[in-house]
Amino acid sequence: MFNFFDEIKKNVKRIKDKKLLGFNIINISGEILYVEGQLGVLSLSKENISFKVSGGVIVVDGQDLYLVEMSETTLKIAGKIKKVEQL
Amino acid sequence: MNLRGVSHFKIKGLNQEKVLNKLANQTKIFNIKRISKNETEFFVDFRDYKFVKGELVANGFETEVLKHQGVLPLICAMLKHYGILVATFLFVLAYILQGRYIFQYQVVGAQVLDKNEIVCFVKDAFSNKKNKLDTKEVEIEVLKKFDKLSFVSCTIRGQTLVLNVKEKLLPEEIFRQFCPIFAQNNGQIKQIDLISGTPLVKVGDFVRKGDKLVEPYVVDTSGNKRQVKAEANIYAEIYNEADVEHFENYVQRKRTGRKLEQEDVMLFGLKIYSLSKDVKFEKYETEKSEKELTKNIFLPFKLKRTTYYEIEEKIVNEKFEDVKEQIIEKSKQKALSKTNKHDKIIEEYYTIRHLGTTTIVNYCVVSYGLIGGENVC
Repeated sequence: MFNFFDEIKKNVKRIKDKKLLGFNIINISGEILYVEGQLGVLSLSKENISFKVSGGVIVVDGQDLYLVEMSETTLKIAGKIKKVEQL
Repeated sequence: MNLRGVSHFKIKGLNQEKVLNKLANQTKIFNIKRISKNETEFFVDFRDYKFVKGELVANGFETEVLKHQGVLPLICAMLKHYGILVATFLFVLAYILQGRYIFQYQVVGAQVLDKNEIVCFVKDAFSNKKNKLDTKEVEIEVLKKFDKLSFVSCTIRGQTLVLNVKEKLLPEEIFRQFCPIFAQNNGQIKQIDLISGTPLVKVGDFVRKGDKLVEPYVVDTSGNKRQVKAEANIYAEIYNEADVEHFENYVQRKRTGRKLEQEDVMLFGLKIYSLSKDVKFEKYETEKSEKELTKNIFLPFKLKRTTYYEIEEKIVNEKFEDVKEQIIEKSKQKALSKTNKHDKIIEEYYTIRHLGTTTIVNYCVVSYGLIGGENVC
């Protein structure tokens, strides 16, 4: 089955690298942030959303942020995304 | 509209992220918005509503379900209100069932023929099921059965079968109805132009209103009575009289202008709902009116309105001499109203009678004209 993220990994030939199995984030025009592999939301506010991922914490800064959808492993964040930072 | 439906939650409490993570492991959560530090709103699938609510309560959150959206919540809500569902079902069932039958029969235009006779014939001869009833066939059969009818039109309106009939124009003799001529007024006979029948009065006779003038028969040479139509032009001096009473003291009742309305909703003569106010008027008179709220035979709701008008009474003292001319004129107009349009007025006079405090003015207009009215049986 075609997977967008696997195709990118194949392309850079490091698909078997365990570090690449942690999480995937895609930022669409600074308005939507799609996350795969989230391990739990740590904080939630209009200006800041942070969540755990394998090997760290991702912090999203922006304006009017909210979670469009949240499931066991995925997140869809919408709003004006200014910064995505991994700690 | 969302078919499955969603539930809109609002939670209050600390460490909301923890419970959201817990819920997200079991179900999908949508549109999670932090309203304030302690308040968050979010949506979940309607099917997970009970689970989510249980989890939130178990975790000590103050939970409020703002609303449910979609088709599934709507159906669930309807199922809970089974009374409405049963009533709706019964209504639809009754509507479908009653729509198939004819419950009323109406005959329009029958004057000589008995309407019930026609209705009984149609009831016996034809089914009351609409789908089995052919209106053309009804028209033909009714025409065949009743030879006095010249035209029949049959239509079904709602649950009513309407028969519009027209009777044949036949002379009265055919129906064997021979009626005498009666005097319409008091008077003295002046001229008799007999066409057919036997006269019971002669010129110069005084007759009272209701007296028989011409009998509907003739006696032939064998001495046998033979019935004929009574027909004659009988002229007389007709006494058109009218009385007007005057009371020196009487109580005058007048409306003050204040009124009060009471309304009752009735069904089959029973009061279903009443909007009544206490009548505080000391003296009043009432007017009643009735209006149909619905136009069907199953639930014929009617609105009964009673209007109370406040009245005041006062004793009026009026001497006859002060209003004599008006009373005489009033009695004259009353007497004139009894004359026929083309009658020739010969004479008029009045008499006044005093009975204690009451005075009666009797006015008589003597006119010349036809005294015999239409034949009445």
